Amino acid sequence: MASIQLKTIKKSFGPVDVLKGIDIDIKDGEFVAFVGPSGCGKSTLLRLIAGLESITEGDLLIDETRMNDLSPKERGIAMVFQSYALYPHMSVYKNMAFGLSVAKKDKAQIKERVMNAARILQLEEYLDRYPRQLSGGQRQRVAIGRAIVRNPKVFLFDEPLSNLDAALRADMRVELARLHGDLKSTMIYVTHDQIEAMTLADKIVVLYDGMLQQVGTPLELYHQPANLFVAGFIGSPKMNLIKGKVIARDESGITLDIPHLKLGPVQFADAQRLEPGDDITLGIRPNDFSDKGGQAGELSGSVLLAERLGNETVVSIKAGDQIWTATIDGLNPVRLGDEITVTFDPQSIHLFDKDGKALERLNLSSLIHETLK
Amino acid sequence: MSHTHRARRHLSAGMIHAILLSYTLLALWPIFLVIINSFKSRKAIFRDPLALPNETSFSLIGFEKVLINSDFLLYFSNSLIVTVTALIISILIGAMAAWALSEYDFKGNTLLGLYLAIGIMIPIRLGSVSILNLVVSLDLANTLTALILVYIAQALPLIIFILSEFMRQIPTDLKEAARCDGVSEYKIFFQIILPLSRPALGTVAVFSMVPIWNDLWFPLILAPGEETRTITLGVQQFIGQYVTDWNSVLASLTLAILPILLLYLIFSRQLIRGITAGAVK
Repeated sequence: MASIQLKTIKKSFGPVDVLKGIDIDIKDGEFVAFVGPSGCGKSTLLRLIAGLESITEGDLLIDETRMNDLSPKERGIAMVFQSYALYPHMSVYKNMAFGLSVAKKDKAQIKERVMNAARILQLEEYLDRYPRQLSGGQRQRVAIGRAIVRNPKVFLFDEPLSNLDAALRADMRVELARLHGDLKSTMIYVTHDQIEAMTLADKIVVLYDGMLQQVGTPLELYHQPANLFVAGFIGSPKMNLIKGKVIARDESGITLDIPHLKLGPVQFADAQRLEPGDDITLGIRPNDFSDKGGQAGELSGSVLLAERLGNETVVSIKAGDQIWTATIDGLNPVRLGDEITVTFDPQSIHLFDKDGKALERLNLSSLIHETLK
Repeated sequence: MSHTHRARRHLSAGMIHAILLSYTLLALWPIFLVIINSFKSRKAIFRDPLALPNETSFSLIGFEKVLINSDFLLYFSNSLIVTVTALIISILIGAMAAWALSEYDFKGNTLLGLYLAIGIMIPIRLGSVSILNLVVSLDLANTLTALILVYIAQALPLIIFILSEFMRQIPTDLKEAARCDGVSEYKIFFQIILPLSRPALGTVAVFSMVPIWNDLWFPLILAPGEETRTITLGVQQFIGQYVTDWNSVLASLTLAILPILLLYLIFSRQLIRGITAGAVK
């Protein structure tokens, strides 16, 4: 059980600055996911916390104690690697017991802890097998077991599920969620898979280019992304981000000029930041569009592509020289080249100023507001 | 189409096997001659060196002379002590050096690695005179220790070179997982890296062992004394300027093959794995 603070953490490899000052506060027992595209520094950040890389600048505190100069074993962490990193020449039991036996723990105690971990992870019948005799999912469970037996203050996961196939990944996701519920330890989880982050994490940290983009709950990130990067990164299919201009601002809201989009004045909490003539970017999530009509916002264009997923159909709509993505009813018989009109609630749009920073949305539902606070 | 293709594949496989087989015969021929003639009487050796021993020509006189009338067992144990000790120490030191070179980033790492590898290209015999001087001034002349030390120096470059290349291929995650597990660097080396390097260890053991066992040069100049002769040197006493006791020479050579063959069999399982390691995932 531990809280973690990162205070303006910086990391350089020679002349390359990989992390440019990261501040994160992680509460005891929290499940935090680091997400970002590859090369954003999320794995490096995890390795800094683990003690596998040295911190160039800044402070790392675990339970209020500065950890910068301590070795991994003194930090009370356990790490699970993407490649599992099981010792190939040791049985499952030995893999899990190895860390404890080098720490000269009592034999009976080791056995008890390993058996306990094996029970939690349903590995009891595989204890005598070698890693090469196990499937990917089982190997990953052994790797997690090796972390559990050490009873660490903090669990670190480095893309633990990305070597597994889709079905197994979904299963392991559920198991990890259950594990966090059982152990109630602090967990940090690095992933590039936003579904893993959204479903598992209490709090998501979005990193890009060595900088913190946003820290928040999954719903917060989805409904109020702080900037263009987060808006484009979270959510699938990707949010439509279309450039436009502010025409006017008055009491009724901001009037925008977006080609081919019918949209009345919209309201934002900090709308006064914008002046007529400012460049803005408008964002609409594809699933905020509907083909049922009856909403104030409207977009018309020709269908460029229709991907039928069954429960919904993802259509690419060409309007002028812009291409929009919208999800519509799965049974809509729309075909390539058809003209289509989709509608949306003007309240569902996101707006970003010329620096890519989001405007604060109004009328978010009370549920989201609660998680936002 | 596929028929001719398959036929051609069979043909080329047959060619390869024929070449390998003839090379094997060529390599085994002298050993075969040594072994059959060691079981023959002196006259029979000269009468027909290529004949197998039969009732009239069969004789164990060579083995009798070697085992009973000479210090063969002493030479034998000298060779064994020198080879095994030099092998164990050089592999242990070499593996540690290889681990340090492959795992740790320190100033002059590459330079040190190159320096250690130079020994592969420069034969240690070039330094025979200074080695002899050194051994004499250390008062180690005519001791097995002198031989062991020289052989360790001789074996190290190749061992370090091969092992450090091999250890570089051991996944970093494994070492880091161990570090997170609280395993000390020594334990990582002895309990994870060494067991995982077994194929490479077998390979370097074979490559280092054979030249040490067969060496005549250093025993001759550093330890020619009666008490410290190795088997290759011991055999020389049967080879005279005027008379060569072929029975004894052949018998002792036959016996000398045995231990090296045994060691080879032990290491070869690893060796073959070492050669093919990484070929298939």
